[in-house]
Amino acid sequence: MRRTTPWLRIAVVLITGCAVLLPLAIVFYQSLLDAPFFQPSAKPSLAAFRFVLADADFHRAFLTTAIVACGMTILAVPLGSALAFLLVRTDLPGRKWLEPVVLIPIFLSPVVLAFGYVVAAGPVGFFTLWTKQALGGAPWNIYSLGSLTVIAGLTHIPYVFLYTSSALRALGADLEEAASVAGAGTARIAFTISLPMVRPAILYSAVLVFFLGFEIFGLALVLGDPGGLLVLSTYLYKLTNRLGVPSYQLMAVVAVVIIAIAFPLIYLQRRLLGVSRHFVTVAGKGLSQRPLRLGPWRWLAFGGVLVWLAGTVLLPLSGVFMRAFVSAWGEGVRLFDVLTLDNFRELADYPNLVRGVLNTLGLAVFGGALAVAWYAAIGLATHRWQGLWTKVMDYLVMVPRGMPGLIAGLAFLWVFLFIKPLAPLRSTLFSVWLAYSVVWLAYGMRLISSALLQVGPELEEAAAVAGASAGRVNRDVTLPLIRFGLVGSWLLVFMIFVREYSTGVYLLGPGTEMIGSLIVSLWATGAIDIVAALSVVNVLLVAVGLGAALRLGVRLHG
Amino acid sequence: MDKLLVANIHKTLGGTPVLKGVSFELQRGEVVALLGPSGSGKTTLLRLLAGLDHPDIGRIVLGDKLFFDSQNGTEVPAEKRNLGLVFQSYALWPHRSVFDNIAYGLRLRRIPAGEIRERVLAVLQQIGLEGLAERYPHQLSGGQQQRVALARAIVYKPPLLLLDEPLSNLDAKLREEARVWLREIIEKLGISAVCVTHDQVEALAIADRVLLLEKGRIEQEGSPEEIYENPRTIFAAEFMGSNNRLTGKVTEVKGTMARIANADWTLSGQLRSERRAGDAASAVIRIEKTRLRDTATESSLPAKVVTALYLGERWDYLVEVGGQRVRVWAPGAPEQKPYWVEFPPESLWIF
Repeated sequence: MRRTTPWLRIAVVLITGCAVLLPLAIVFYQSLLDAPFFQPSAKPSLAAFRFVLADADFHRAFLTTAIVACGMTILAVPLGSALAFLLVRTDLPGRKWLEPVVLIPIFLSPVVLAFGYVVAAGPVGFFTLWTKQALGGAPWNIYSLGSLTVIAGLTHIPYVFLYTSSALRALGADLEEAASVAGAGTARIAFTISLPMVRPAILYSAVLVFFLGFEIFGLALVLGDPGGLLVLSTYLYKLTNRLGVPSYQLMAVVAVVIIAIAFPLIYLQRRLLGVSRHFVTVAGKGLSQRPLRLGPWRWLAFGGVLVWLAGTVLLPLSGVFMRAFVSAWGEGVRLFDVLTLDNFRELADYPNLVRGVLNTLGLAVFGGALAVAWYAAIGLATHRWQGLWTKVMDYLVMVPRGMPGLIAGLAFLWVFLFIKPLAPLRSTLFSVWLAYSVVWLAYGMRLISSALLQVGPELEEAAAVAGASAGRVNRDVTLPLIRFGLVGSWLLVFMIFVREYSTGVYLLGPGTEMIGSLIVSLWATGAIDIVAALSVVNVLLVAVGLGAALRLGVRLHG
Repeated sequence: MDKLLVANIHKTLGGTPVLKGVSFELQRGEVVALLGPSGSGKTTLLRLLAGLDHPDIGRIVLGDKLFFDSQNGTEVPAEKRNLGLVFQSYALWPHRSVFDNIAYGLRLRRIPAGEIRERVLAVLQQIGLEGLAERYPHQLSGGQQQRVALARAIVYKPPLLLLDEPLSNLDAKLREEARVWLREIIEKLGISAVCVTHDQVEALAIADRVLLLEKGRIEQEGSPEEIYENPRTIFAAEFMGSNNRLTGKVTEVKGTMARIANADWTLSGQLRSERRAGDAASAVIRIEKTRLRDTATESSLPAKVVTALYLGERWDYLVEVGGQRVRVWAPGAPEQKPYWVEFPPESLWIF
């Protein structure tokens, strides 16, 4: 008997490769043409690059993006690390229930959050007007670069928390106890032992936040636009109508620029991840952890955490909910006079909006399951398989991270236009599903591989020796053992798909409406009532997923 | 008919050669122990036999079935080899009951449900776990899990049973019982078995034949007595048992006997490797062959007691002999008197 070639595994790698590389390739191809690729007159040229790189708006957008990315990193990293230390290592009151709560901003759509800030604290926002009534003036401007940066920074704190807290958790308590016995106080332990030990994780999250800052879209679209602030992604988005004709080549150039910035950052993250793993293995044993005492500071710290939560979750969400249940809002209007359910009735009257809600639900539930199935297939295909193909897959999975949702959506639109046999699928939910699944590929794979990592190799080998083929080993041993991991992944992917807004923007059309992309396009038309109602539906759907995940004890860390 | 033939196996893992040309045969019904320190390649060899990994070079044949041959690219995958393997960690599937764990191999072989039930219950009785069929692995003790792992491997009557450190996860007392029990059950089944272990006592007790592995090669092979009583290399001598080692120079070679000496002492023993007068050499002797005396004999050296540890059934003396330290066992506590240590020439090996 000859050694058999694992065709099935190779097929999974090849299919994934196509799904990941085609959109990337088409973006690069389009950027090197002087006209949209579907025009017969399109010729290879660098004209698009010359145009974009010489455009003053592009320069401004680039600078703004850099400022926002730096500013939010400077803000989010220290606060996120402090939050992680407080929640994981100290006797902060309520740290058990605070843990899932501080992760909420990750699962909220940035465009919903931004909208919430506008209706809560914008020029005629609820809290702005109430403050004016009480104090005679409201000393903030939500549409400034400063506000955008601060809001972006505060809403990205959970990402830093996520990585720093899991590193802190892996750290042996004995290391801190040794410092404590030697006479160090809590603050000293934090700054000399705990935080330096998790430095790689903090550094990793800093790169991540900076990277997310470069991709920022929803917040900038809603909060930056009125003040004329453009970031790279909103510059790209505005290009759509700027020249009157579809200027695909210019959009492609901006996309290439964003991708070119993203890839080195992803590579850097990957390197840092390797370093942080080294650090963790050095650490002591991580079992019984006695929380460090904060003493009188614990209530102050608790207050600080609550203020942050109020500012990043309560403020925007309360704005969204209030706005959704009033008929109008402005100076001199009393909240209880204008309460209504009309916004939701109106929502139910528009077939495309109803479809959007149903599509979102369907795509999140069934599409999410399908995506998890695909991720699991990739996971199993490369599971216990050393070699070139697995390495290839490893890199393939990272590629979509370099493409923000907006660009991936655009690229998939082009793929469906470019490859004629696929064209009929463009106006179906399949196109949206594919784009969503590819955009979240790296995230999903992390969930799947952490589940697969739990399966001891000898459990599978035992089945093989007993006579089970590779397929049967998967069916009888591996899959049953990771079934809870798969359910957890499904719930997380459900939430992420409900939350997602930018990937669907360019794929939006009759039949492919999603709540997120509808909010983006309706926001431009000023239909605030409908946007508020849709946002509430969106938040409620996420809440259902979050509730289920917490009920089942799914780790939100992924 | 079910003779196992392993020929010239080479295997490199992560750039390091782990096996460098291992060959051996296994007769039907024979139990062979692969004994060696960690890193000697014994577990790798077992995995190659099972088909969980494949050699770079070599040939593996069981009876008339060619499992692997690097020359013509033959490789039978693990699932087609029909072997039984007991893992060091037992590898019981946590999501299946004891019954389903054991029945799995039979189901894969499409045996009718009634017969499966019969055979699983029979093997459960054989391993003394009747009544536990519906339990899950986490509800069993370590010793019970080990038995289930064995039952799972033998229930489909493989021609060859592979055991990877089968007793190492049991505590010391349980291990002694399990050793006896394992040997008994293998004998009763009359199957061939290859057992990997780093524990010499386990190897000596279970196996008909021991293969001593060191750095990817077979250092010595033979019956347990042969390996223990008649080591051919210094590694084999020192790996087994507890030993004393003295270093010096060969002063005289006479047939199979030789004399080894240092500035302060001279001893005679069996010459075990190519040494001529004047060569540096080591003398190795099992501690239990070394005797503590209160009078001088022909093959003894005067000793100074450094310390003595009370171990219950005996005293373990550490003494200084001609500037080198040796251990010797004696029944009584040390007294204030001169001592000699006797090294019987027939038990002293010179390498």
